[in-house]
Amino acid sequence: MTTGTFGTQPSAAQSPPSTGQTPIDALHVLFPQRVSTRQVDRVVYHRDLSPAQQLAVREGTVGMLPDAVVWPENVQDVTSLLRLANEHGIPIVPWGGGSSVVGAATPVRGGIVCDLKRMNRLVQMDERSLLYVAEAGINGEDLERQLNAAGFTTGHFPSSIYCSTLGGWLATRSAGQMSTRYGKIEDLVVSLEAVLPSGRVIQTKAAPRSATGPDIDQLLVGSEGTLGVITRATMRMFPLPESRRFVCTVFDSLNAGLEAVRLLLRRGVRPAVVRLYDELDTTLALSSLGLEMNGNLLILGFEGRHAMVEAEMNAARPLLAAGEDAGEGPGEWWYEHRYRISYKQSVVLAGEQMVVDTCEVAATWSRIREVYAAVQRALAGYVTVLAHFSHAYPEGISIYFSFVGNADGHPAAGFHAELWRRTLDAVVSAGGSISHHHGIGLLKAPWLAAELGGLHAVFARLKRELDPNNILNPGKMGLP
Amino acid sequence: MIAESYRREIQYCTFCPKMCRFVCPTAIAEARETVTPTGKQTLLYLVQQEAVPLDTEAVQTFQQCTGCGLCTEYCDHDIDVYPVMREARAEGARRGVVTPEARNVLDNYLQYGNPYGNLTPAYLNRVGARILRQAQVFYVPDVSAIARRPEALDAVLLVLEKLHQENVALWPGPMLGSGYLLHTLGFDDEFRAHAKAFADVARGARTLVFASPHDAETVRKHYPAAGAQLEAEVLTEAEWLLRILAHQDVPGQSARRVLYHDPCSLGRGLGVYDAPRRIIEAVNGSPALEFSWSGAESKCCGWGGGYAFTVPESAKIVARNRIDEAVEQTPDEIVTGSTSCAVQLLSAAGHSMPVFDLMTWLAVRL
Repeated sequence: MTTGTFGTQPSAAQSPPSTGQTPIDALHVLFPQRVSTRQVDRVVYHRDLSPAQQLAVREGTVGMLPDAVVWPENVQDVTSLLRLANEHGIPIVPWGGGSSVVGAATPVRGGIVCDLKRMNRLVQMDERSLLYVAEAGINGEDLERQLNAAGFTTGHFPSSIYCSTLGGWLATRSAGQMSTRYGKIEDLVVSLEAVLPSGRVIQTKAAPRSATGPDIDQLLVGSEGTLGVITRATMRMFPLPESRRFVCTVFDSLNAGLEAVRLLLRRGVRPAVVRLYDELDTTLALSSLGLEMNGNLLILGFEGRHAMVEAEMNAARPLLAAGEDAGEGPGEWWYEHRYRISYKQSVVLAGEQMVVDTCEVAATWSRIREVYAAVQRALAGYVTVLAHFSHAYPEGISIYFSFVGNADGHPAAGFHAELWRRTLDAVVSAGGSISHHHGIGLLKAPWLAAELGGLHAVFARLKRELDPNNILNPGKMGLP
Repeated sequence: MIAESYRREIQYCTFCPKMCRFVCPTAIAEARETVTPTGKQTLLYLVQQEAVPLDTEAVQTFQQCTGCGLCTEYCDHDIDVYPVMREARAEGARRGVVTPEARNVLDNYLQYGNPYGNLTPAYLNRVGARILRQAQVFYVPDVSAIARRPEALDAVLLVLEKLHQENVALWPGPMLGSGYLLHTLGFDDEFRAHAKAFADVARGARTLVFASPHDAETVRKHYPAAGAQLEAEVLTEAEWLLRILAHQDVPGQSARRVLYHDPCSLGRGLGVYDAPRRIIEAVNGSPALEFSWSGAESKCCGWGGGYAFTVPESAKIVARNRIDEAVEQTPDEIVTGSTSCAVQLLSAAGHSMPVFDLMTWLAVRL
């Protein structure tokens, strides 16, 4: 077991001040009853939900522990924490639900985990403007239910919704299952309150749009806690739909299904749900959840006002003629079980040699088939690869690969790393983006500089400017 | 290996993306990953792997489960975390790793036959006239009522009188309650001894009516494995009252806004959902109001699993969360099928909201 540094081996930046008070002492003064240095907490917070770390835990390996966990209750608490951290050069890892699958919430340098879940209030709803204000630590499902009770919805349904938080969604540039209609998290955010590494609080203005220079909200969205700690957000919401309907079609070929989706988006149809499963995903993944289907299943879900839904369904149907109508049943079934796949990972990981992971990438319509084929080629003979296409755009679509296999006597961690190397190399060479909505964290960091070209150096300079002591989530996104 | 028989449950939860954390009362109360079902099971997994020790901190963590069972409602694998945590506590007890709070409960049981302390004199003083050593029907009060809400015992006597239940005797002791807290905190040897002693006293009785659903559930589910054989029919208070009220003329007039809280052990534990609601409707003249989380998805009050004894501050937060949920329904009063729940909810509600157990409510409304 490896422990963090401060409190055990203080460096020059982390040595106690002249008062003789250690940073841990100061934490207890600043956050009475809201700081823990107990080993049980440090052990549990030492990992997020990335399969790489799940595999390590499976082996009984405990990596770098944070030195402490702190639970701020308001933005002033976060300011105090960051000032203390800056003074002593202590890493701070912002933490929501800890559900990152790429290692973004892992305290790889020790330090303090800043768990925001006590900042969990739905602060305000502006029904007239279709906006709500909520604190960053509010749980996604709680938030959705609170809005539902008032007749609204977030429109944001990541499969992690039972676990994850609003702040986590924003920090990781999350996408929900109905994003084609409602947009991704970057489309839903209107303004942010955040604390910069210096402890300074910024609050952007809630307006439908501003031409006032670069968009600071969008700088923080997806920065994975490296540039600031998001503490509160003003977000768009939507009236609960009057109607939810599905059109499901089975295509003999994946290409026919992809072409139908491309034309749908090109013609301005915006289903809430667009999910095209390849043959293996249709037969294996869906059947494992209880839906027996063959072929390449396309589920289109429409929701909103009755008349709009009818109109969109009527617009969609002629474009689906190449497939066989499967009725609404599969879509209704999917909706009822839409988070169920999240339970399956643990079944696989419970197998001693088994490896499982998911990889979400995106590409333009011109490149999507090659990206799909490249990944299939790269992993052939290693693992079983399932895929579905979702989050559709007029210009392209994302692919969600699931791979499962047996390390077959090799160390599972090395086997897992090799799968990722082969997968992302293939995606890059085929012209795809290495992440559609899971983010970068530790896992995809080696590919980020190439993905961003020269912009990664700009990002790194910006990070140094905002965070000269490199306290915020160090070691992530290819940053030091 | 610790909790070896729960290997599947521990592994599945350890590698689960925390799908039930948003309903876990302890995880919500503390906003702490460590006490989510995934966090607790991860810690237990690592104890199994001998990567972390089974020390007091670990046992304290395993005590942070109320046994409410709501996690199971959101588990695709139907995993109930509570029996796993209970087994981990028991392993701690077997190895002598006992928290001070649990030790206090154990000491009280060993000295006084209940988790609170020397309750017997006050109990006898309050209900002595209705106590018999032998009876066909025993009413077993909730120990929480004796310790924390003794006026509930007056209500029991009053309701028995109003319902003409002269043949019902109150439990004579000396042990009070089923030994639920011994069981939940993992003191298996002491639980077996308590259960056998309880069964000896109950010998000859035809019916045992338990005010505490935890007691009824413990007797039904855990006494046989403890070697405590009971011949008597075991009923919860709600089931018994419904049976009695079916033959009574009840007023059904008050039409107050009565919000019903399902005790976890009565609902998810024993499947008794309708009986208390039918009683309330019959007496009140209108159906009970429902929490937004009710029935099989009812949220916990924070008392169960020994949580109110081992982590009382957090247990109170759980209760406050439930009271906050109650306020949404603008009730006149809350009624629940367990005195323990009533005691726990009152600890958070104070004077802001009347909270009754069924018997106390009937004493007022009948």
